[in-house]
Amino acid sequence: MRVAALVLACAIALAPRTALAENFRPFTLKTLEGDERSLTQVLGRKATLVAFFFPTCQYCNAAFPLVQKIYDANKDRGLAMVWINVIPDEQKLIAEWRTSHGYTATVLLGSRSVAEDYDLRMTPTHVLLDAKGKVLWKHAGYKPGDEKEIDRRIQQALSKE
Amino acid sequence: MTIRPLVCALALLIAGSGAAPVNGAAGTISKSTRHLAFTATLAPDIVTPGTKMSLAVDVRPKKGLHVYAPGTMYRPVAIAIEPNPALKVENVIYPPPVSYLFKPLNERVLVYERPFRLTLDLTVVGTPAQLAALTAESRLTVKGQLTYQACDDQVCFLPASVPFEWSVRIAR
Repeated sequence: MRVAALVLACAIALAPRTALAENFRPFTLKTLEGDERSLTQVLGRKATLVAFFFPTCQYCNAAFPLVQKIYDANKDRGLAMVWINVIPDEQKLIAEWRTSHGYTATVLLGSRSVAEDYDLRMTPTHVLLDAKGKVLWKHAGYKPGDEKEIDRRIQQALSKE
Repeated sequence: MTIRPLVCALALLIAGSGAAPVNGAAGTISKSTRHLAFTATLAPDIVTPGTKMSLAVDVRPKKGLHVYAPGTMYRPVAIAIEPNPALKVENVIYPPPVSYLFKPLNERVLVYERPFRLTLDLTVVGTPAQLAALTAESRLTVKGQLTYQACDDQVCFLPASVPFEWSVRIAR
């Protein structure tokens, strides 16, 4: 019995933490231009899609053109989008990366602790927030087709009164 | 019979503990992370000024994972040795990588997905004053990190670094 409890405890300790926090952890981070943005400043009227990334993340580069399209199609309906860089030594790559891909999301510069602060293990990690910053959905990684689920979750969030 | 799950749990905890530094005499260090396991060997363990040491790191990516090789825009696996005025560090020698097709972008990248070895030479250097100050207890610390980014066929894990450290005896 004790052994079973220990193994269970071990499994729990090693398992990814999938439970969502009630509210997204507040932040104040800098933009590429050096301005500061807090969580409340970037929240959309109805929903906000936060994506943790870094410019040389292959799966981010696969996902983001599609995520950008979803944002373009929904931004006038109250969707905001914020991308948070998680690798500080890649900050110097971001401006050209964003321009060359035509991305328009607000990019914020995460500190070295951002991965720990948000319990990140992989990129991209998408987090959908409601208008008050409550976490509605979280998804780590990307495989082709995931953009449909992202879009579906966004439509759900935008359709709420 | 009853101890086996306990050992398994302990092994899991150790395997999941990731990147705690390992101190020890020159020799072999083995570590495991969520993404790979590696064995790093530094030889010889007794040096004099002018000695060329050889560091060999045998890396075993876990099943389904790959790490990047130099020559792509992505973060390659690398050995970073902390600067030390008593050490001259040569470039890391890489084995030939394989070409991996990243289907979502239809992009070919150079990776290692099977066990591979990185090697690095370090030469012990010293000024006459430093040589004169050596005692029988003198030791040289070699600190470094294995850095990499691992991906599988769905995600890229966050870049990681695993520290290692040796203490090498300096003979007069």
